[in-house]
Amino acid sequence: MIAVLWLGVALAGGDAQEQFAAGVGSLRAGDAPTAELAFREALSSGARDPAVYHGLGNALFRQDEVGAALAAWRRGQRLAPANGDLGANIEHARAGLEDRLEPPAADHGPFFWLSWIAPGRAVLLGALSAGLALFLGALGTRRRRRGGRSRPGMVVGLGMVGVVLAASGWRGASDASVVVVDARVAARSALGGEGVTLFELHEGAELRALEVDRDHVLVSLPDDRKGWVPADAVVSTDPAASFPQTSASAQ
Amino acid sequence: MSVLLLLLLSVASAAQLRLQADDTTLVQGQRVSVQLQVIDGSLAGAPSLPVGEGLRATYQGQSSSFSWVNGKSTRITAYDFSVSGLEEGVWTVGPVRVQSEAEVISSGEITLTVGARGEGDAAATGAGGVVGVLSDDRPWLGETVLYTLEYIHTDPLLDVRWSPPDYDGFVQERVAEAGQRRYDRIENGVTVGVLEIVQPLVAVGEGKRTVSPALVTGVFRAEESRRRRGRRDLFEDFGLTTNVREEQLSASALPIEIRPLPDAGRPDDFSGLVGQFSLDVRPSATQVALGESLTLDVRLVGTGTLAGFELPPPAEDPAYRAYDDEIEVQAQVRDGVFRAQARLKRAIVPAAEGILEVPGIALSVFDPEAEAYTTITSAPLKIEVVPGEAGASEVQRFGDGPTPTGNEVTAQGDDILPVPGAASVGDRSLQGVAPLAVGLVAAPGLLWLAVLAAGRRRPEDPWKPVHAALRGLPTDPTARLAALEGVFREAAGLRLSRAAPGLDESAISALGDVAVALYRDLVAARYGGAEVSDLEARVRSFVEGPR
Repeated sequence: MIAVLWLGVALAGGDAQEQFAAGVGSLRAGDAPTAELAFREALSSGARDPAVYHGLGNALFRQDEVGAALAAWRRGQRLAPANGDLGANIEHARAGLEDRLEPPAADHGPFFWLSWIAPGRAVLLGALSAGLALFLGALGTRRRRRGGRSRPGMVVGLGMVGVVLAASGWRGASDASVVVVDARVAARSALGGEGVTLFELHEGAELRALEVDRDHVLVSLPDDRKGWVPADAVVSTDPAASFPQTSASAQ
Repeated sequence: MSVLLLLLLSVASAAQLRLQADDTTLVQGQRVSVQLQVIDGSLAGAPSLPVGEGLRATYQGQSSSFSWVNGKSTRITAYDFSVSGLEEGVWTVGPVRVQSEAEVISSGEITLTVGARGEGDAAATGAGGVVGVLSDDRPWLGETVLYTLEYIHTDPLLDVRWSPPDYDGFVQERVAEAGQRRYDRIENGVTVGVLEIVQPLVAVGEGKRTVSPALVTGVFRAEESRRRRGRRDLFEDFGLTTNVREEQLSASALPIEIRPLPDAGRPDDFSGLVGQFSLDVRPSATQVALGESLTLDVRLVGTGTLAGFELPPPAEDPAYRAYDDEIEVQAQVRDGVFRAQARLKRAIVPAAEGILEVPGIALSVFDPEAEAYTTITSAPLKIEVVPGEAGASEVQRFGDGPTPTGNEVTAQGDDILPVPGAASVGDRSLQGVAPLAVGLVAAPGLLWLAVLAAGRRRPEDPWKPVHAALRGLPTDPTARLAALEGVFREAAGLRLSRAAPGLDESAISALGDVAVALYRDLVAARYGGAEVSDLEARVRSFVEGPR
């Protein structure tokens, strides 16, 4: 069964690998728009991979789309928190931002290991641990049938480790933040005409997303100020979400 | 006598500019107040007051006033200047042109006549005179010279202020501060007080230049009538008030010529130092153990400025390595002489045992006295390097090859980092790994369920162990007999649905006479020593028989 799953993943990833290689080639040839298209196609093929987001961010950065590039790199960083190259690129881009805002701190709760392990990998490790527990449980049952001894302590321990790891992965994946991709966007106090402009944000500002209502996102600043911004002015840092076409790249 | 000059030029415009002076005649060293008035206008900041070469203007401050005449208001902003007469002659003040709001307005000009100070004037006021001199009126470019200002006074001096001249072609030496001292001396039988100010300067601009006059303002106690002084002394005793007068004197302008350094004989490694210097290098020890270091105390002393000086690094030598501390530069003027000192500590780490020869330091400088380039050198040093702790020499080496040379790689730009092209990509998101994670859990889970289900569906045949025991009878006769009894008991127990160990003859009698006979023979054979030949066949028949 596992082999079948692996085979499916490998077959699906074949096209994505080619698109990724094409994107890297275009980027090295200095053709950032073509590279961007190739990386987007790799994402559409299911390759939500740190390297693909790294390449997409580089292609966008070369086209002066700093906000979108930051969003792509952040997505890559969430898939590979210990990737130093992505961190360096983010620092490089942040140095030229107009807004001096601290990026939203990742809320890992008690799952400190999420600083080094991506949520997907934590879930995978949890599944592996739980699977091993189930396998040992099956062996123990069979052994008991034949009059042998089983080891229920190890089964329970591995099972708990698996559950905790899977839960941490789930928690890490639910962390929501967005990056402003428009040159300037006003955060308003309410949706519709009744609200007033509370503050103004500029491209590259990273914010925590609290709520999404139709075409708007409620964002909060590090000092807890909140405001509604148009949804198409920001890009989520969730690597599983589709990467939208920004207004600049659409032109 | 105070004369008021009023010059009103810009009549047509709404805003007007007036320039007026308290007096138009003065003697050298005397000051006069000049006021620039802006009427019904405003300026962005304090304007500058252009004056002739023999005058010097100093901005004092501003004030504002309003007046209401015949139903019309007038606003006046006044900018006050103090103009000092430096040189004898007729000089102009103004005109002043400034931007007031949306228009440019200008004033007229004032003519001031500066007369020579009479010989008796200074003596009469208590201020004897001011003399400014340069230690060298034809210095070389880069040479350090001293500007000395001597202020001579006959009356006791309460306070003194001085305005330094514009040191055209010079900059003030960065390390040393201006020196100041006071002393008395006798001139023509009269004791006079002398204030001496010495400012070290470094020549930076070639050609003929003029050092403008310096201004000195002396503050003296004012002479008053005995009656008034008597009342005032009462207050002065308590430090409440002092009646003073100020006298201002100026030194003469000094024409100088700064000579460029000669090209002839200029060495390639010229250090840029101009002056007379000496170099001294002293080691902290003449013997050092391998693996340890010693310190060279390098001192460069001279009459030229050392601000910003850096000692050239030592030549690469595989016999030792050298590390320099930060250089410390000090400078001061003492007894009318400028002296600067640069001190540096250089750590020497020998690389091998034996006699280490550290070459002397050579420095190329320009000597203004000799008007030529010279090279000053320190004596070479010989250091005895004795064996150090075991392994010390290995620690000091970078390897078997020569000592690495070259510079650190310096960053020349900053950019984003490239994508790893050899990366194998896939779906690393939570959604991407979810099928695999489910598979990892589901596969062993299903296996476990299958084991559980199989256990429930096919209960194990209780006769299976009996048959297995019958197939695997031991070869030893005693053990074989015990095994046979065990097989019989298990088979009887299964048929009676009772536990095998608790069976006795009465229980077995329920299975019939054959079974009882077999039981008796087994017991007799095992515990009574009877020889029964067909026991094994009879047990097999009992097991295989109807259940």
